[in-house]
Amino acid sequence: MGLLEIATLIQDRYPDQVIEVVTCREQAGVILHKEKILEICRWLHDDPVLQFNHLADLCGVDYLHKKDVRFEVVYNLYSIPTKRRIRLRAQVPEDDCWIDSVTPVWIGANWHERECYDLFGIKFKGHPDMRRILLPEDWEGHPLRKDYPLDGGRRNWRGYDEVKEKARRLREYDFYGMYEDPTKKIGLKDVSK
Amino acid sequence: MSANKPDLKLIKNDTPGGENEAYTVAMGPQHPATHGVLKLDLELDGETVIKCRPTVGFLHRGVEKLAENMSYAQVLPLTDRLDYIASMANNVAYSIAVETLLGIETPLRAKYIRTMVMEMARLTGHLLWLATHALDIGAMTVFLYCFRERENLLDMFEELCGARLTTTYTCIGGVRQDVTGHFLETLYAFTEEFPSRVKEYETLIDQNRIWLKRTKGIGVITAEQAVSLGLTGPSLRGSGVDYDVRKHMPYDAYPFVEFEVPIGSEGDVYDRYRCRMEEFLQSNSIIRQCIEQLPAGPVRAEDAPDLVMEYNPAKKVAADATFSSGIIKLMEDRDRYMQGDVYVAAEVPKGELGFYFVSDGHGRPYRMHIRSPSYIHIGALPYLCEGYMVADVIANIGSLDVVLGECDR
Amino acid sequence: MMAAGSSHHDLDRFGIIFRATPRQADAMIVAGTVTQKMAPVVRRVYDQMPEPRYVIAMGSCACSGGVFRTYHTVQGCDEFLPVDVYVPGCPPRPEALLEGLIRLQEKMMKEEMRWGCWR
Repeated sequence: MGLLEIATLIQDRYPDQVIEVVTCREQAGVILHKEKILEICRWLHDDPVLQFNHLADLCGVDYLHKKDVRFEVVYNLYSIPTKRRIRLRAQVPEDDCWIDSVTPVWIGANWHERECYDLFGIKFKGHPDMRRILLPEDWEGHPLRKDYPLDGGRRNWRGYDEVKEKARRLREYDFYGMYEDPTKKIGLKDVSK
Repeated sequence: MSANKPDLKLIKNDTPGGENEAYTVAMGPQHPATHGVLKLDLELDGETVIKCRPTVGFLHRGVEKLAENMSYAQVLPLTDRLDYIASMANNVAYSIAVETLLGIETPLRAKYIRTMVMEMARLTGHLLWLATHALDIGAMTVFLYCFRERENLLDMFEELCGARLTTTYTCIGGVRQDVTGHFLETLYAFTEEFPSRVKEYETLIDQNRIWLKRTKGIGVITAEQAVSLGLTGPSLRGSGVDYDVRKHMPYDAYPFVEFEVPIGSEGDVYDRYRCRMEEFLQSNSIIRQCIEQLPAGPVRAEDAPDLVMEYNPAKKVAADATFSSGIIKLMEDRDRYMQGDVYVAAEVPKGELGFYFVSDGHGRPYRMHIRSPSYIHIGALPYLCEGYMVADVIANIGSLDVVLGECDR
Repeated sequence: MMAAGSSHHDLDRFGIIFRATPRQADAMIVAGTVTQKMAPVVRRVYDQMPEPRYVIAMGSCACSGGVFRTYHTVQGCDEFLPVDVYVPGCPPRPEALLEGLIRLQEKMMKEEMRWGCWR
C-alpha cells in the first residue's frame, strides 16, 4: 500500500471529516475535524486490513497566529503487522478546547493525553483521569502554548515559594550559612558569650 | 513473592480503621530503587499492591519549550540530557530526525560510525540497567562487574569525543570527527572480550534460584496488552511481539549488518531480562560487523548545517527578514527549511525514541515533541504491579528500564 | 555518581559510603537538575538529616540551573539549601566528585564551633 493510499481510504470513508491530506518527506498526514476522531481511530485500530495497533505518539501543537484553528492534536499511528504508518491531525479550536479521548482504543494514550492537557490545556472527553501530570497540580498556565514565556514570566510555583520562605526562616538557626549577612552574625554572637 | 497473581476480587477492603483496611505507602521520589525521582503511591492490602499510582514530573525541565527557542543544531546537546545513561543513542536518533526533515543524506562512513556508537550506547545502557536491576533485587556483585565493562566503554567514548556521558558526538549530517585507528583497535579488542564477560554475569544470576524466584512469573503482561499500552523495546519484545525500529524502519547502517531481534514468550520480568542479555551479544556482533565493513570516505555531509544553521559558508546567506527569530537563513535553497512535519523514530536501549517536528520554514523547530519510551513505560507500571507483592514493584521498575530524565524531559 | 561509587573509582576507600536514608547521612549530594516540583522534597530530605549536615551541589544544573533556564527549573539549589561545595560539570567526572568530597572533608576539619561548642 502506497504512501497516500491509507489517507485516501480515510477520505473515502469520512469525506466530511477530512479537511486536507498533506505529505512531507514521504510521510502522509490527514488533517481532520475533531468530531469523529474516536470513531476513526477505532476503525483504524480494528480494521483487519489496516491494524493500526501501535499508537507511537500523541501530542499537541499550538499554531497561534499561524492558522485559523489554534490547536492540533497529532496522532502518529503505526501498524506493527503491516509496517505502515499514518498521521492524524485533529484540529481543536481555542474557544472549544476539547477532543474525545482515544483511551478506549489504546490504553497507552492515557499518559499522552494527560501530558497534552498539562502542557496545552486541551481537555480530553472520556479520559479516566484528567489531571496534570508533569507539572504540580496547582500550576497556573499551560507552558507549551506559544504565548507562555520560556522562563514562566518569573513567576514561581506557589509550593516553591513556600520552600524558599521556609529556607529563609530556618537560616537564622544556621551558624554561617550561605546567606551570610555581615551586619548580622547571629551565630557568632551566640558563641562568643 | 508468590508467582501466582492473586485474584483481586477476593481481596476485600475493610471499613476505615478496621483491621484489614488498605493503607497507602508513598514510595519515592527520593527512594534509591526508583532510579531517579519517580514517586509511586501504593495502596496495599497487607503486602499485596491493590493500586499503584505513579507520579512523574520531578525532573521536568521543559526541554521541548527550550528547543523551540533554539536552532536545530543547538538542540542536540539537550538530547544528551534526556537519557543520560546512553546519550549517544539519543544524539543519533535526533540527528536522523533532523536529517529527514531537512533532507540531508549522510555519508556511508558516518552511517557506519553512528551505528557503531549507537550499539556502544546500547551496551552501556544495558550494562547500567543490569547493574542496578540486580542491585535492586539483591545481587551486589553484578553491579561491580557491570561497571567494570561500562568504564571501558566510557573511556572509549572519551577517546572518541572527549566526554564520558554527555557526548554530543553526532551532528546533523554526520558525526563531528572521524574515528582513529587506535579507537577501532581498542573497541575490537573489547568486542572479542565482551561475550565472555556476559557469560560471567550469567553464571552469577541466570540460573540463580533466588533470581528465578524473584523474576519468573512476576509482572506478566500479555502481548496484546503490551502493544495497547505502547510498550516498545525489550519490554515489548519480552512479551513476544516482534517490533524493533531497527528492523521495521531501518536507518543508518542497520540494513547492511546482520543481527537478530531476541524475543521472549512469557512477558514476565525474567523474559525481559533475557531479551536484554541476548541483545548484549547482538549489539556486540553489530559493532564487530561495523568495524569490519567500515568504508572510507567523509564523515559529514557537504550540505550539513553548522551551529548557526547557515546552510554552507560558501553559499549566500542572509539574516532572516523577521528579525525576531535572529536566525541566519538561506537565500538560495529556501526549501531546505521546508514547512511541514515529520515523525522519525529510532531504537534506543529503552525502546522507541521518536521525534516529532513541526517546521515553519525557519531554522528553529516550531514544535518538537519527544516520544520518550520511559514515559510510556512508567505509564504501564500500574498494569504490571497491581496484584503482586510490594517487593515485586522494585523488580518491575527495574525490568522496564526507566530513566526519569527521559521520562520527564 | 554511580560510577564514583563503583569499581573503578571506589568511594569507600575515602570512608564515604552511600546510605539509603537521610537519617543516617552526614552529607547530601544534589545530583542533577532540581525542579520546582522537586524542591520541597529535596528540602524535606535535607531537614530529615541529623546535624552536622552538609550539602554538595553536583553538576551545573544543581549549581546554577545550567542550560535549563525554563519555567520549571530551579536556577541553582542554593536558592533554598545551604550548599557547602559546588562541583561543576555536566555531568562532573567521577574524579571531580571525589575532589569535591575531599574538599568537603577539608572544610569540615577547618570549621570551628559551627554545630555547637562541644567540638
